Amino acid sequence: MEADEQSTAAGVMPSKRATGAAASHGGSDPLEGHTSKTMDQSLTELRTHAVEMGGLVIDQVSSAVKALLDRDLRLAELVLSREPLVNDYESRLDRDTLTFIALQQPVATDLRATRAVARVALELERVGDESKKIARFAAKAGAASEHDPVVAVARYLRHMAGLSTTMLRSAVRALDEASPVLAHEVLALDKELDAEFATAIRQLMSFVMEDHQFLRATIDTIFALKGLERIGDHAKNIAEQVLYMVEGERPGRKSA
Amino acid sequence: MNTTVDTMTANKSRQAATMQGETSAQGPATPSLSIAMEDRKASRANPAKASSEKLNFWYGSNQALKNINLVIPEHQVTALIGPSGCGKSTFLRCFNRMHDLQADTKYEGAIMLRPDNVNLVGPETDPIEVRMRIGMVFQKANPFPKSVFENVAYGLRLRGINNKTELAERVEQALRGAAIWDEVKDRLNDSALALSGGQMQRVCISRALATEPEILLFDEPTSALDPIATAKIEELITELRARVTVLIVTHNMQQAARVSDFTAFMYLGELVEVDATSKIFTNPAKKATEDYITGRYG
Amino acid sequence: MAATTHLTLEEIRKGLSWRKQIDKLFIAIGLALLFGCLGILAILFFDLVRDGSSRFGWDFFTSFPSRKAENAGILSAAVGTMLIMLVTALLALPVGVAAAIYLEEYAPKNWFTGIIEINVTNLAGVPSIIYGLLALGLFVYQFNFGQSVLTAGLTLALLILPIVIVATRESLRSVPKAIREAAYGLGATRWEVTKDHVLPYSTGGILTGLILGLSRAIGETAPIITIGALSFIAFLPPSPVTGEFPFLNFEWLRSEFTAMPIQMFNWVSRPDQAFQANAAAAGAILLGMTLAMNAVAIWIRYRFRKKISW
Repeated sequence: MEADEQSTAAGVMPSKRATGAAASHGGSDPLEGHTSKTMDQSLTELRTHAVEMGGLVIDQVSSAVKALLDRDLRLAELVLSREPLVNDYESRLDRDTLTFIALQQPVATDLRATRAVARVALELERVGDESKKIARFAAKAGAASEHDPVVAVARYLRHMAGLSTTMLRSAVRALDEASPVLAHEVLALDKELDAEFATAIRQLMSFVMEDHQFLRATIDTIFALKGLERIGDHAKNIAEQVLYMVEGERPGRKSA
Repeated sequence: MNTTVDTMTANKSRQAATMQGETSAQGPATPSLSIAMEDRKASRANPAKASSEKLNFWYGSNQALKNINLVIPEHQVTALIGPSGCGKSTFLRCFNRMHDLQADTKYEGAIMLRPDNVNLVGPETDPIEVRMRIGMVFQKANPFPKSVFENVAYGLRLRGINNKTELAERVEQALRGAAIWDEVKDRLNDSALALSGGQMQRVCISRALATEPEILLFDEPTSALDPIATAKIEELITELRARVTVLIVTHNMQQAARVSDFTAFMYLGELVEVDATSKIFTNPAKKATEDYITGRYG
Repeated sequence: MAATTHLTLEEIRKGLSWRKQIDKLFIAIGLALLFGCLGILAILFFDLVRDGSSRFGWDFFTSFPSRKAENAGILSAAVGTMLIMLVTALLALPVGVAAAIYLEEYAPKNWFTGIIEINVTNLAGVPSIIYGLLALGLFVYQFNFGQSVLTAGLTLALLILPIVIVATRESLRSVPKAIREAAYGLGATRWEVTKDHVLPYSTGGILTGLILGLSRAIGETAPIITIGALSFIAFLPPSPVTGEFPFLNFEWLRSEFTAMPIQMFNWVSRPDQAFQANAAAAGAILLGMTLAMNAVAIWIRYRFRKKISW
């Protein structure tokens, strides 16, 4: 687990873009270099805000799982209090992408990038919702005990949290750097996440068959695991948006 | 609380610690939304540079402008859009009294220039004086058949500036201001007519800038230019905001969307709607405006 | 087949070849007429040259008229013509240009200026002898300028004034409105616009108009006869340049004179056949002078047109 996290633990950071159109023709960012600095700036801002939102959401996910595993009530409440912030980001980005399209009439890569940002914001907002649900579960869970389903699948929870946040981090970085390589990495990791989910469910099923007492908690745990699996799916969707933005075609589908 | 950027700095240990659950008692820092999501336009409104008040205008017996009340904010770009014959160019040309060059024209009402409160269209105001404070760039680049230097210097010479060094300095400043200095600095004494269309138009812009006008009027400045020249001039117009107030007439709505802070829609000599550009192009208040910008004219 | 406008290729070609024939026919007629006229002119010119060939020579230019044909020359006539042209040009140019500028740039467009404009073009068609009569009554007697170079210059200046005005107006108009607007837009007054932008680029057209006017005036006989050009003078007007202060005198303006057309007419009407050669020679020279002036006008127009392209 640690190894995975280390490899992509550079953190999610808006990449240092060469500002100013003049510098960008030789630069690595294909979305810069417009004659209009306003357009450059606006597009950069949109992507930066998406990345910031990503950072926040990743934090939410890992905090929510940690709150569940450590029975940390305060942490759970912190996650819940930050949820409106996530929604705020999404509605702002939704509005800003629309205004950008109306005012600057982007085409080709710029247009796909704008749409990617809007859809990524939506995906991230849903991730935020999932972490909210996990945090709620964490908030109402009592003290840990041996027969706790959460304890039974703790290592799966931890691993899936690690995997899904890694996927999210890579996906958001992929958006930031317009990198298809990173996007493909995310798509690959999804399989591992799904496998982990399947194993965790089997473990939980055997746990339940032995001990019927904590049925409610068990159901909630299943939902938590499912939530994490869904977060992975959202990360995958983000990666697909990045691929569409860069290459103009969605992977595995005919061109739109 | 730390800012978003702080949170997201390449703080490996911090991120890794978050993963492994060894955060401080406070929990990870909350990104600050206010810094991250600032509004692009200042919410504080700019003061008015000019305002037309109940302006009416006639060509002979034909009334071309009907009761126009429009505020032009300082250091902003205001665009005038509308179909052919709506009066946008007519309105623009009232600002520098170009109509006075034709016979049988009549102004009624006022265009007040702030802060001195001079009525630009008043009979008591000298049109030459008005034109010395308000500059204009025309639809088709019209440099004089002189050298580039003499073109830009002409306005200065009219104002009595004949000292060689001062002229040279101010010409360079004006050419820099129009983002064309690098392209013509070795060709100052060559004929301005030898330049490309986009370059000629930028020389015309520097010619108008040289006299430091308070308002710069653009009458469809890029309608005769190719997309690259157009983009350069649009970029220039947004930069000029810092120096002058800009009023631009364009029949290209997308240009108005890209370039302006405020957009006014005119139809049949009347002002239909004026608002921040982002509002007009995402959600205009009047149906007539919506129909025009979406292309539903029928 | 029903009426249809759709033609087959053969039908198109057939109709086209007929239309092309007519096209070629027109070209042929035009060329024929053109060369016909030029040919006649050339024949006249060579005829004159041939008839007068015996008299070409330095002495022809430097001798005064004389009763003997072999000794008669065009000195006084040539000098007289040149002086008259000088006066005409100096008078017609400023007056004509100023009038044209006023009419084109300053005059309001009302019925009064409309009448003036019509009259200006009409004046070009007034028979030149009328100008002579006007000059006789006004300049010779009323103002008492006498039968002098000055009077001749004034008369011919009046004659060619409409030509100069019209030519000037045309070249003023050829300056595009956009240039004027740009100048006005920078805060120029009407005179500054005219002086800095309109006049400099009209110079070519103005000079051309002047020279065309002069080449008409050079051959006008009727008006200068009326005001009393002499046909036999054996002296030159006093020199305009003297050796003493103020180095310029204007006596020559008041002097009596003769001119080339007069001299030619005088020689042709003599019964003595020998004088016909003189007349022919003088005619050839006059024609040469006219053609030379036209050539200068064309060259000026070419030079100025090259410099500016709107």
